[in-house]
Amino acid sequence: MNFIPVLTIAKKEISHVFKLPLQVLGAPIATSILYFLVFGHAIGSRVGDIQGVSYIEFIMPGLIMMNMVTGAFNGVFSSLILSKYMNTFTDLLVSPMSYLEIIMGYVIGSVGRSIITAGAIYVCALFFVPFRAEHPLFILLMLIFVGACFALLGFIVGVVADNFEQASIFPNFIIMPLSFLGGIFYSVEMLPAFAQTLSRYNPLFYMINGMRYGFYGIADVRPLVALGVVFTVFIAMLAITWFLVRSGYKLKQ
Amino acid sequence: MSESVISISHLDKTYRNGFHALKDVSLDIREGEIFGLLGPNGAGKTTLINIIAGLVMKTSGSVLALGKDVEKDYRFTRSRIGLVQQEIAFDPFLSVIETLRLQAGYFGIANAEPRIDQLLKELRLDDKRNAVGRSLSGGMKRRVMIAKALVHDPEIVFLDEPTAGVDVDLRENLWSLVEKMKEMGKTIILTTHYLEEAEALAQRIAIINQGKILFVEEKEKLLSDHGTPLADIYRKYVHQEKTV
Repeated sequence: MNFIPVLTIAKKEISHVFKLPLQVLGAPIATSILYFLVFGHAIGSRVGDIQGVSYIEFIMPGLIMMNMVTGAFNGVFSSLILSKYMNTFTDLLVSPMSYLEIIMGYVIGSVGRSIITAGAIYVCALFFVPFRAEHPLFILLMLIFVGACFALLGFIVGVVADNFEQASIFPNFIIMPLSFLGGIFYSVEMLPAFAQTLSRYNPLFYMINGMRYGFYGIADVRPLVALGVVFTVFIAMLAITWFLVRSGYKLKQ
Repeated sequence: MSESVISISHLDKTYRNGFHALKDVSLDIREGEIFGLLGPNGAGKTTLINIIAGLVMKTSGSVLALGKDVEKDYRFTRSRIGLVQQEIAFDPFLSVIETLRLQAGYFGIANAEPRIDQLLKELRLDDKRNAVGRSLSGGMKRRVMIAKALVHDPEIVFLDEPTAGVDVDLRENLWSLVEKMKEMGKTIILTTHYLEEAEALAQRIAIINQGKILFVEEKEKLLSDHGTPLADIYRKYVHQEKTV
């Protein structure tokens, strides 16, 4: 394993935070503040506490997670599809890097960028909620592995999709609905039995609850189960990405 | 006789759409030579180069670079090969220096600054080091492409139509750079549509058409045997092939 090429890709991906701060940081921060104001303050005061925390505290981990997954996905996907358009992905293919190193570079870069975004959102959230992190290591594990899952998904879609139109299906019609249905704004205990069962097939449900456990020690699912699901999704995504890149599909003729 | 740095044996390539781009190509390229690979559009030149460089997967046959298989020992071979692609390919939002640092990073070079400085000077890009890609002229972009291919100081350099669309001044600059690379002991494989370029630079010439190598010959022998300029020889062979 040669770490210089891996870190070169990762550094390039993370540098987008500083080169495009409005797009990478500004947009998710602005959206999150709106959610905190509208759902947290305006509606939250009428909802009351859920599982022993205020409504604004309840939704905060899910909002971080939602921005994290969309950021991780979009970051890798847009980098990849742009490099395909600009024909610069060939620079990687003619280099002595292995496929795993290429994938790792993108994933590390995207996770790093997503953690910076998550941190920035949390700093803004502190204007609305008191500081509390019951299980900081658990939060970090969730950030790393969830970020990696969606970075890999972004990689897969970036390779397979021919244009932005095709790829927009994922963030708009899959990631966003799964985030909302994963329990950002509610506890599954509030849902009818069949919807509760259905929620358990949604990976975002485990990711959001895992994050909530990390911050407040509360969740609709056992934390190790949440971590196990996230890790399983990560391995599955890694295997698909590895297979895809190795086959040369849409990358090599 | 010099040793072969690239040894191609019975190489075949059929693309997914069924196009048979290379047909049983066998070829040896010698250490330190400038090898001119000529042929009309779609003849198979770029496919051949891209297979050696790792951009295209072969269908069958074998390709060795410096005695190592380009697929099995790709780390070894790719770190010794530089490719200047036909198409301009670099991020238009990055500066020249950022582009070259990235490229050096991909090749695992920790401290590439001295090499980058040297290349910028040699390619007359020194005053453009902080210019972003999109602000460069076509000729400047072509120079950046060459700098990218040379940043890891490769032993074998593929120049796939490097002077396409560049002005006379830059073309002459590139020619002298090619000569300089040869003096440094690099092996250069040049594809070009400018036959006078191949005639001026190459020591051996191959003509490829419809995926087949028609001949490989020492340039001097080729010219003396035929007693005509390279352009006439090229036309004769390519035309013959078309009429067969």
